[in-house]
Amino acid sequence: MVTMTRASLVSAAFVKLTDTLVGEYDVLDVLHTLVEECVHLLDATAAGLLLADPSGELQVVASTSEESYLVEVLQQQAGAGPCVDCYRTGKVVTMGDIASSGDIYPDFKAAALSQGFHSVHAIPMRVRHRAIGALNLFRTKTGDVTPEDAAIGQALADVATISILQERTAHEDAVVNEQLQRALNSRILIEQAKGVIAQVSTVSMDEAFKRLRADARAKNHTMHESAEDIINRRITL
Amino acid sequence: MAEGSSTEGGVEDTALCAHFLVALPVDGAAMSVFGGTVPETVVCATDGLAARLDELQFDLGEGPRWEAARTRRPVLEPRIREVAHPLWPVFHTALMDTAVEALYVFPLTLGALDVGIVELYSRTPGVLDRTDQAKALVLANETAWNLLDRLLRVQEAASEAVTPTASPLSRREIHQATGMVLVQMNVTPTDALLVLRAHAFSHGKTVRAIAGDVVARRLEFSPVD
Repeated sequence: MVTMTRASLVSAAFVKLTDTLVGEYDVLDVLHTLVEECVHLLDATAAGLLLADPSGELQVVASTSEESYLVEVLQQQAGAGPCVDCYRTGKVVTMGDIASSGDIYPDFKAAALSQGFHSVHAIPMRVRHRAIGALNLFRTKTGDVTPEDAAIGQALADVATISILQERTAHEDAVVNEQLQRALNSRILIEQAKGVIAQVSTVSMDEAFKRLRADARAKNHTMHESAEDIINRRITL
Repeated sequence: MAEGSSTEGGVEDTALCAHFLVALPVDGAAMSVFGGTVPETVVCATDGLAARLDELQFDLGEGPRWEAARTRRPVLEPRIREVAHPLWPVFHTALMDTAVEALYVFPLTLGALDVGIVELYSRTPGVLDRTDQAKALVLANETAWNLLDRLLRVQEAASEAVTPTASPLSRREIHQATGMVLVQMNVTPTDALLVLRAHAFSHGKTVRAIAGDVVARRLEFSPVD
């Protein structure tokens, strides 16, 4: 019964995700839905998705919380940590017990443990011969992920990759880069819009993001479009 | 202004323009950076004609570079001599005295920031196909990141307590603070970032540190009159 429930949960998540990929859709909203589904499906505490920017550095584009504690831990490993290793090698990197991981990534270790994360699983987002980023799953408990969870995680990461590379012409590197950069650029715009909302309405950055996402969904806009309206002061949230 | 370089904003790299020539079948490139309300600076030009085209449009106050800056979208003129251009008649007439057949102008933007503009010209009409245009967009985006990265690092290098590994771009607080300051001062995003940079510079701090103060509401800027 347990596996039946699990299977139906998984298929429901994929239906939900693939439904969002029909017609015009908001890449960043899809990526947020995806990290949220990861946490539900894969028994993780938090999840985040990082993409490589033009200088090859990884940037957080979606995370289960916009609170700085999670973003900082995610960004921390952009310098040195399982996520950047995963991106560079194009292979899954698992740390089943961060506390006993020695001194390979002291900064990441300290940041992760300070937030109560004890294991991490990084899954590459691949386009043929190259990786464009990685999906990270954090858990408060130690232990490796099961092979089944690893497979589901990879499938979710693949959906994320497909959602970013919208066009079928994405077989050309230039087009891949263009779409990757579009997602990163939208993320900057969203941060700027969060600042505007936080200032105008005296709310936290996390609340500002929630309002932005809710506005986009209510109006059937992309978050990019809503962010532009906010920065240009056409709307107030 | 040919081969022009400037230390304004800490940018001095003619190689930035050269990248476009290596990757694309164009004959020349010129690039300007917007520093906010201060006059913009030509960062580089690969030849005299590229520099002249930029200067001409700047002096006339019309031309595709202004259109690209205003709309924040690329302006592609693959056959610039053949069509009438009601938006920039004087510049078009001036172009007829040159060998330019095609002009491609790409705005350098990051989120709501206007970082600058790059202009490419060719003596052959219609040289950029769809793949080339995608390449040009990617290069323009890389250049925008590169320019902003340098602008933000000027203060980092000058101040203490630096974490040299992390790109200032990876710091969301800088973009969030830009959004807060543009409301506080009622200015454009580009000017808001300039204010953050200027404040950091005059206080010997990093832009990131100043941005952190703004986001934590320890520092607030007053509206400009």
